[in-house]
Amino acid sequence: MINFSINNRGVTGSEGKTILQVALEAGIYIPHLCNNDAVKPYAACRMCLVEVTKKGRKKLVTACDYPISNGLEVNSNTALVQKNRKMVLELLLVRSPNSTVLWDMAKKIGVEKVRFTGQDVDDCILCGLCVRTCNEVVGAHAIGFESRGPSRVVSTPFNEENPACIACGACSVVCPVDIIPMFEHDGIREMPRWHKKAQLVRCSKCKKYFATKEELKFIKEKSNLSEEEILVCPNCRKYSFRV
Amino acid sequence: MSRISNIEELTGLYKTLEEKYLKKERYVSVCSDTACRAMGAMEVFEALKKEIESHGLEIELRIKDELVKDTGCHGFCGQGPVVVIHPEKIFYRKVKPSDAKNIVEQTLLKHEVVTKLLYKNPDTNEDIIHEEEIPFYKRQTRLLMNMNNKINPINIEDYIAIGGYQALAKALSKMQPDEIIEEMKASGLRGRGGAGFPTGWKWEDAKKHNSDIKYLICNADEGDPGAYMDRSLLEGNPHSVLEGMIIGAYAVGAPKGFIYVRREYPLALENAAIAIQNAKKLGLLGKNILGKDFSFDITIARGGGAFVAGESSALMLSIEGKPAEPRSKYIHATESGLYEKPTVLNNVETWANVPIIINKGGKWYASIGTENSKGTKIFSLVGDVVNTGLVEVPMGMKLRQVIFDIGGGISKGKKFKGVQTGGPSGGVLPETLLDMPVDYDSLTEAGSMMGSGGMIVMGDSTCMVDVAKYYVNFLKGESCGKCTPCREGLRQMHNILDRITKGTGTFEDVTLMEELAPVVATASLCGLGKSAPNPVLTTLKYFREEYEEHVKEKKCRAGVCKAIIHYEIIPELCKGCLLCLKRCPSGAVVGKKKEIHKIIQEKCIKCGVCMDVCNLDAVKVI
Repeated sequence: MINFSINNRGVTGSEGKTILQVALEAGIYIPHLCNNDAVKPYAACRMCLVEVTKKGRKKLVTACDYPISNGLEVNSNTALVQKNRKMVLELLLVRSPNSTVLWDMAKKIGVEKVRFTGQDVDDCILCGLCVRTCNEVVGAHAIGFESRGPSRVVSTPFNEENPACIACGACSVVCPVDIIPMFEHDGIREMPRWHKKAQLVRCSKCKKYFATKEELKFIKEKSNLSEEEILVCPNCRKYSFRV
Repeated sequence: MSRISNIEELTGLYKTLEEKYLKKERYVSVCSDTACRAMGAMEVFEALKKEIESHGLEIELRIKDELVKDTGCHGFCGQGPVVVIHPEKIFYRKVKPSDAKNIVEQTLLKHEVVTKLLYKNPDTNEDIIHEEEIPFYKRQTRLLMNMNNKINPINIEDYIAIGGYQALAKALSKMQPDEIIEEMKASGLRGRGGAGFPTGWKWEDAKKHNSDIKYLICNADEGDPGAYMDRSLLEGNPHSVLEGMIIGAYAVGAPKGFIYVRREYPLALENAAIAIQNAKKLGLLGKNILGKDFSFDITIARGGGAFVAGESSALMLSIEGKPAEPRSKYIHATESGLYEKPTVLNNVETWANVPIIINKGGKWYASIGTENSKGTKIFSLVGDVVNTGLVEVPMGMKLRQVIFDIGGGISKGKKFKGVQTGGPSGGVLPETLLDMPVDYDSLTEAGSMMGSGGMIVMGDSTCMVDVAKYYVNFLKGESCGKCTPCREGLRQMHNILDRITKGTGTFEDVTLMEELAPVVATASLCGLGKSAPNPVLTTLKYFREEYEEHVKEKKCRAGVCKAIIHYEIIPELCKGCLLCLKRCPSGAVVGKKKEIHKIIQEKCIKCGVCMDVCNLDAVKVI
């Protein structure tokens, strides 16, 4: 186990863990947006900046991908951290001014208003959680980043419907600013941001819609489950297959 | 040529070639670097060859590729195409194909100088015959560049003849890997790519980590606008880079290397590829190099040209075939770099320094330069300076010496205003800092950086707010867009600067900029974002009055910011010559012959043509 301190409080974590993981386990608040334990750290949103002192030298690092080590001193609330964190959030609020998650965070860290103009861009904060979840967790590789700098957007190839998208909705669930809508109506699941409309399939037991056709095909190929098994919704599967 | 199987054979080959090389006393060296080629060097070369053949002279005509630096004028890009006659080193500048006849008949046959092709000393207006007497060269210390004018870059024999691969022979026969690393540490060499990390320590760290494979990378992605020293080295002396890498591979224990070159450098790509091929043929690359239990191979990786791909972690991902997006470097590349294996990444110029250090010793190398910045550095001196080109000087030389003594001062009668060092994300330094030594620490302290060695001189017709806006716009477009401060921060910085240059900026804008820029510099993920605010922060620091003028008086003293300036004709000076009236594209100038002209402001598109064409300086910017 590794012993170090966060805000002068002794904490421990196993080797390979990051500052953010240990802090969250210890109930210490460090704001973050692009981090999720399901995917690899990305260090893009820069909200989790903390000050570390190592061998007497202070520097600002991102807590989400900084590996812990013995004797490390972490401070999550110095004046420098606050100044940078507030400005970063203010910059993100320009992009996504209607996000309740961002405004809640703003309240917590003391950002009251946005002094910048330039809402002429997409309200996505480009944290990349959707892209990384689609790549690393689902494995569908249906969406990705396009262009660079302020022109960067998340998109399907050529901004058209992508046959690789299985409309599983993982991207929608993981989005911190909730800008990837997903609707279901008349046996269709729709994800307008990706120009996707997918046919829903009914559960062979309860007859309720539960997944898209592409989703089931994808899972079947990956899991070696039988046609019979795959057509049972998670809810009914609990009773059908459990011994 | 056949494979060299041991060190004795290499030494033997060196002796034979050296003797053969020394015998060739007379030759004409045509600089055919990219810049000289653009000016017609290849046509000059062909014309000279034809002329020589028609006279049946036994003169070997050598093409000096890319090394516009050394041969009396090679490096003196502003004077290209350059031709140097050896052994006298008679230096001819701006040579045209039609000059070939004169050069051959007068200089080669009669040993007379072609006066009209000589360089004139701008101070005394005297002709200078020999390249080493030209002030531009006289004040430089050319450790890296001095080979370029002696060799044909694609001929490995030329390189061996001037002592090339002797450092490798020394390293493999007389030194242990640890001794090489100690020598590198003793030399004090710091990375020439920008960050200035000590090379020896980097190698030591990579050697320390156990791994089934380790990699070496040569970063030749040089993307700074106006900088081309890496291109020149790779085009003009690729074997010096290869030799450095082979020595590095032996020291670190890396069997595989990459040279990452941007696609926009076709000649560098070609010459590097030929050099690798030739080195393989001779057994200097490949398995059991010089009969030792040591194998090393180099592959060229071509970059698509994104500026950010020059950032080390982004570059490694690009080699892996992934988008060039930087990642955190809390775990160093020397532990987990390319393909998550220990990797040493050095810049072209850093690698080219290695053979010199091994040949002459780390201690000798450390005797050049300042306490914390050792050796020489190549700068690409461009902008409003008389002598544009590549200059190699010892670390610690004063900016004033570089710009005025070597560079010949400010061009077109302008006054010095500032100099930007270190590429687009370097700071702009004012006149008061001209006596500052050029080294890593001084530049950083002043708010700029060494970068890869760009040096852009700006005269008084440059608007410093506009300069800041230009670079922020460049960096905004080249940001990969991954992290918030760089992507969003630069966008907002550009918005603010845009307002200021258009006359709608406020003092709150300046204050907000002063709050935002340091955050971008602190919170960004990689070096691009961290250094991007430098042009803004330094111009705010050293040229603050210009920002205030733009905001308060809506005035641009340099007459650059079109939205807030207008042109007027001074009645006392105007003679009514109709010149500006005829040239005005929007019909904004009115008047008759021999009557004072006037500009109708509503019609004026502020192109400035009237001012350019007026012979009487009767048009001014207000």
